[in-house]
Amino acid sequence: MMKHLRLSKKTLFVLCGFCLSAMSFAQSQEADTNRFEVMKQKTQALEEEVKGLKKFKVSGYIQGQYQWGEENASLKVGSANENPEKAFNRIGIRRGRIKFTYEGKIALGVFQLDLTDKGVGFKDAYLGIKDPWFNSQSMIKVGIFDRPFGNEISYSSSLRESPERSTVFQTLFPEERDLGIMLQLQAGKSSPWNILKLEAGIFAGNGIKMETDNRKDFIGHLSVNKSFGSNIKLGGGISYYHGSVYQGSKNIYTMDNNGYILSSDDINIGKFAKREYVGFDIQFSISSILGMTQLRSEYLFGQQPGGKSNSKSPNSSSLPSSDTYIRNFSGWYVIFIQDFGPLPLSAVLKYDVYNPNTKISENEIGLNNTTAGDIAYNTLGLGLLWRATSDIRVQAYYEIIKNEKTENLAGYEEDRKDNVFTLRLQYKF
Amino acid sequence: MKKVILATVILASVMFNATAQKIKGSDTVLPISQKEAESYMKENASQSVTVTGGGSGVGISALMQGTTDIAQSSRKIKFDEKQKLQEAGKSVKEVVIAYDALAIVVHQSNKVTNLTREQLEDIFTGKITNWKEVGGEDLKIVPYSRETSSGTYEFFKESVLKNKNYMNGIMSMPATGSIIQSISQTKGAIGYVGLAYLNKDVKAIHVSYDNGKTYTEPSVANAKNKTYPIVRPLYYYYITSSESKIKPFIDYVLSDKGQKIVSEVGFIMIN
Repeated sequence: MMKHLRLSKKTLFVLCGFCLSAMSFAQSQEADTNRFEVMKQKTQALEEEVKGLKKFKVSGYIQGQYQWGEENASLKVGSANENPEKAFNRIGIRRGRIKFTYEGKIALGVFQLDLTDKGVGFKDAYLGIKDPWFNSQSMIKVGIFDRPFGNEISYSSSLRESPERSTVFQTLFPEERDLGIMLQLQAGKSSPWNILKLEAGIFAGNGIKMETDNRKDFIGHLSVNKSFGSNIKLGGGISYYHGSVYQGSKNIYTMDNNGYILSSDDINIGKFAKREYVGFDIQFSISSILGMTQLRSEYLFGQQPGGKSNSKSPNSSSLPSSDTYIRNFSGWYVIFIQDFGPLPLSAVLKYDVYNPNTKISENEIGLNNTTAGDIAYNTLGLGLLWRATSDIRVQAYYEIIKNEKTENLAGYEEDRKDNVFTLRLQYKF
Repeated sequence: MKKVILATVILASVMFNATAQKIKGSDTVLPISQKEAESYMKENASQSVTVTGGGSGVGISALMQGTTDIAQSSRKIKFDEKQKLQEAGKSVKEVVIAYDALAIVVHQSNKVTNLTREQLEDIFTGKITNWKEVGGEDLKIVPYSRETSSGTYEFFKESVLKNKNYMNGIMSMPATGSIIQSISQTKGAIGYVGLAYLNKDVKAIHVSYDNGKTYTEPSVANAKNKTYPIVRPLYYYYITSSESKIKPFIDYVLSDKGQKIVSEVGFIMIN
């Protein structure tokens, strides 16, 4: 009986032990489950926060450069030559860009500032509304952004292999940007139609300055880009600009044969001169044992209303009051970039031409009201590009600038001494 | 004291000799890289290799950002990706490490065994929507695809769909494992996976690329003798400047021992 009782006690003891250990095991399992749940919730909360933070991006680049120029050169940093008898040099910040982008599901906002030793300016300020239905890359842009004309305008200065854009673009599209509204149509990445892109919009036509007249300009660009395998890419496009320029005085000069004829009448004031360009662009890239080889070219022609001494497009906060000179122009460039095999080095060769007045040449310039604004220029650029790291690059570039010579215009009897050497250091983040 | 100094010296030398390598990208290549890494680390105690998936595009993107040493990919690098690397001053090298056959899989209960490339194209582009149109029962077809960042997604589109678009609203799966799981649970489902992922939970379709004259079962043997048509190379991509760091591992993968692992995992050796 006692034995039996003792046995029962033992059994009871074992049972109690088993129950206790089972309970503690269950409790520890429950604690583990709770810990796992807490961890899961924390991770989810973190994921949500990261997702939110990813919508906001800050990027930019700084280009510091040293420039040397012959006595008549025009440098992009520093002030003009203080001694026109001698070559001169300058250092400065060519571009100091900071870009803020906030991208939501169907809309995005972009601000870009330019901070240099010359001051603070703004570059971009636009909103974009993306296609919410078809998963395409279509968008409506409103604000100040790159004009949709050709290839070089929208080709970022942080990637460009020459320090500056071609003369024709610097003249016709000052600051590259304009104020307007644009529709971009492009199929989604998985569509075979993704290779086509149409950009078309209505713009103020006054660069990044505020609008000063009632007229709007149309700019459109249809482009195609296709890769062939993983080693070849070919692209091209056609662009059209149709706009107008306010006539600020009664004197309008138009070309007739080899000189300007003047129309001087009060009714000319406040009317608009036609501004019309057509452009073609092509880009070819091939990757081989030699590294990346790139060839890009653009050709533009059309009609440009400008001033007496230059054919620059409007980029001013006030209406012009000067005489209007209407010229037919043409311009083109070709750029060749060759890597040195797998090295982060590229050789650059660029040739660009801008002829502001195709109706006259050489000794005809300087006669019949024609001026220095009718002189054509061509620039041969030779450069070396070193991509030191993924965010630092060094660029050395020499430009040999030739102008049309004419015996009838003082200072242009010979080629002007205006060659430029640029040494640039860029940091991109 | 001497012992302590000696131990410290040994530990420091081990630490300095140890190199950590990261491999990221294709889910298809993942089983190869994992097994290769395990075997390589067993033989080289001082080496460390970590392998993660995410898709070919993710791997190549990580290579651009410098967050991986090797991008494993089931598709060739795109020109735009090459150009971005070049803009960042990086040149990339390509190594074919194995070949893979892509298997078309359906639910185990599906009566259909043979499909032509044209039928597969029509199924995945949404023209054929019921199994009875291809000799099966009256059941709605539920096609599954990989996500757009996957190299398998692109290879299938190129090889089987002849670059036509997948149907709108196709079910996109983040990983091959999810495709196998979904197909094993959905009667009318069809999808595609790398040969190494085939298991008893799904049924592999015999494919014809000659308008139904011959149908071939997906297998290593058929891929090797080139009778199975949906075969692609698998790649490793790395930055030229980091070659010295990762070359021993790549050489190991390409060695007889490494290629034996490729075969064991269910892929096709390069020789």
